[in-house]
Amino acid sequence: MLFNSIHFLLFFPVVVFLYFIVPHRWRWILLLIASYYFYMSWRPEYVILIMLSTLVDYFAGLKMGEIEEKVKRKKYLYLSLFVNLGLLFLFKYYNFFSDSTRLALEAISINFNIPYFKLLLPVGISFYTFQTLSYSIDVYKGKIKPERHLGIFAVYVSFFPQLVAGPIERAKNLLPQFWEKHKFDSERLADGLKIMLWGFFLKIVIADRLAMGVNEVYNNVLEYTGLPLLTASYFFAFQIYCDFAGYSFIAIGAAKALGFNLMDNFKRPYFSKSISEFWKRWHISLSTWFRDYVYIALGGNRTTRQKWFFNLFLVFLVSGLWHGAGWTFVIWGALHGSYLIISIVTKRTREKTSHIFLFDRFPGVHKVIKVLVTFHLVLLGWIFFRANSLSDAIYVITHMFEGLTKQGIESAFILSYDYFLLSVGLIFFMEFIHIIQERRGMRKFLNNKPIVLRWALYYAVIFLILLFGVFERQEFIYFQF
Amino acid sequence: MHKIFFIKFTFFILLFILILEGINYAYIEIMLSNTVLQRTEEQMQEHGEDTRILFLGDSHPKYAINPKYIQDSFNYSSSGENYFQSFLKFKNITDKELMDLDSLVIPLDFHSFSSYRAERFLNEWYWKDFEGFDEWPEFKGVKNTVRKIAAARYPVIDNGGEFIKYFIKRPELAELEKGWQRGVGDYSLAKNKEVIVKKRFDEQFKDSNYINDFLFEYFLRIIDLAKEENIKVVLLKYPITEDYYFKFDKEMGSEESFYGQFEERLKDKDVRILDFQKMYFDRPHYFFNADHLNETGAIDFSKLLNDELYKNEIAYTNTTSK
Repeated sequence: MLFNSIHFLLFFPVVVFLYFIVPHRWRWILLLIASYYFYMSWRPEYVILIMLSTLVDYFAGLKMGEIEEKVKRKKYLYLSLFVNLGLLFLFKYYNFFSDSTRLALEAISINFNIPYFKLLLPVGISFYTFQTLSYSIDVYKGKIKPERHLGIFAVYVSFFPQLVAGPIERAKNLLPQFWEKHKFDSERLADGLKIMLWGFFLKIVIADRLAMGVNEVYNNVLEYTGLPLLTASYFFAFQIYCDFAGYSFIAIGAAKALGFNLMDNFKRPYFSKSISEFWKRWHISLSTWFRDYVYIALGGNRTTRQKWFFNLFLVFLVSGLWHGAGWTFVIWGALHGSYLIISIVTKRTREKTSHIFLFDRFPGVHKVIKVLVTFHLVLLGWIFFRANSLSDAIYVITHMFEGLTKQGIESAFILSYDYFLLSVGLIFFMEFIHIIQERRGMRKFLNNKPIVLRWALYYAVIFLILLFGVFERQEFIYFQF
Repeated sequence: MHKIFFIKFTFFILLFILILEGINYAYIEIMLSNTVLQRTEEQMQEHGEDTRILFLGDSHPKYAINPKYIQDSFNYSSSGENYFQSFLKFKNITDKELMDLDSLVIPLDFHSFSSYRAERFLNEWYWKDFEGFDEWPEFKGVKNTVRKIAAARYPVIDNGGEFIKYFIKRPELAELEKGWQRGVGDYSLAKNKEVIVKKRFDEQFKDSNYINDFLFEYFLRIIDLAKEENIKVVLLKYPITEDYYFKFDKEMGSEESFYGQFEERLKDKDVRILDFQKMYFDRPHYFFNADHLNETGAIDFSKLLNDELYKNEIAYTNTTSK
């Protein structure tokens, strides 16, 4: 089920209503039914994979909880890793690796027929696999106690607001909340709905509108040069933010309405002054997951400088691969890994340069420059992320400044002048809200305003969604990961 | 505390409905009354009684048939209209006896049966008033029923941009003459013909299902209904550019093999097929894009079609191609 569907619009109020009238001890059953129904309305048979992950990790967790010695717990951790990563590999990466191996062998004149599986990627598999893996690893490390209630654990794995596209929750944060007795709280419900409303706005009004132009260009790149490639690339930077952050906001808001607090996933990432800051603001639940379970496990920065750089690079390479089984994603990850290493290596030089250019006397200007440079480095990465193939990405990069002086300005509009103007206007509106959020916090800002003004703003957002939304069932980009 | 919340929430919803109704009403009154669909409907009410030859179908007849040059005719077609929608219109006319028809002319073009046309259903606000509207499979099921109600009842949804634009700069209304819409432009001057043809082709034939069963069923139902009402049916292959024709030929096989697929099923039907597809291969300036006639082309074609229809007295027992 998509959040941006009428199906969800009917489903969600029913779940909220039932949740607060059902006695606390039965609520997990309601949430489990709702979550499985939510998932099965996409493709019923794939719920078996979630059930399998749930049972394996529940069993591994219980067993690890019974064993005192960490070394002896290891085999159950391996069981969890094997099953979860095995499923992920089979459904998401098998064909990519088999294709790449076959091509590599062909290059050295060895013809080897590797079987190809026609499997549909189960929605959200990367998300719930990582969520359930974090549970097993934390139990193994002794950071948390195993969950003994199978039903509660099953809800933790499949909790519908964040099941298919995160935030990737940690057991330490989410599991105890299923035991808490949530009383109906009108203020919290209203807060949740407001957060959802903002998420819908980002997704339906901005992301899906930008997608029209981006798809037109990126699906026919060879037909374009110069300005349309530039516009589409800028638009994609905002499309992917609005798409993914939009989903996260809807998920966080939906959970909040039910009484659950999910972790923040996006904090206005395009205001970042460096790539390392960007990763503290973009897809926070995934970057912290990689930090905690991969980067630190590899030794993090408490090792030699070379090993540290290797760790950084490897984490981003894996992160790229997590996003998609394709070389464009690998390059995207490698690019971000390289950015971070270069930023560490050049730190002193950059400090000296900014001193020479007197940037330290004008911190405001310096900040703006840093934000712009970071944004454009991220933008370069997005070109690989969005392109349908490596050759397309290279074409975009090598042709985006071609013939700019010859092209009329109208070529930048992609679909039409109205489309361009409305899209840019909406991006500015979003950034205006972000600036308020960055400086004062939206909640604080709104609470100081009279009810008439607050309601006017809510109505404005609702009617922007209704009148300017794109309602042709666009799936969320991150569903494919 | 909860009581205050529910009172506020109810008031919020009521005010929301009120505002939505207001904006929607303004949209219907200001925007929809000026649409080609609505104005064609009004012209049909005006000329319906005098009409003996009715043209139904999509943008091909909409731009190609100027009834001024075809005696006692009316162009009731609309852009994007598929056989299901043509059936709804035709049934409405026969049920309500709005016209005393002698002939019905519907298109028989390459794209007429493509699945793309079956899935594309726009302007629900207009079609909702036709009996049988619910039979469209895309609207079966709870989700789509809600969507249908929303789209049909609240056409302003999703159309805010157009509405705002209307106030910024009033658009010039498309000229309509007994349902005919004037096509402006000259395809012969287009620089990127290959891209135009490719885009048009890709749009019309998105998947490989070129003969959609649902559309074919309604195509036959139109013919059967006409027979019941003693109305002659003419199937018309509209003129297209040479580029578009050969794009089809290259991508989907020959014209003969395409039409051959259902000629057998049409054998027992009293229909007359008129083929003008290749008529203007040497006159690309008669088109405004790859497959739509412009004003000059439409006038010439309409005169020619008038001669053809009356010269042959539309002998409906003959099923052979012209």
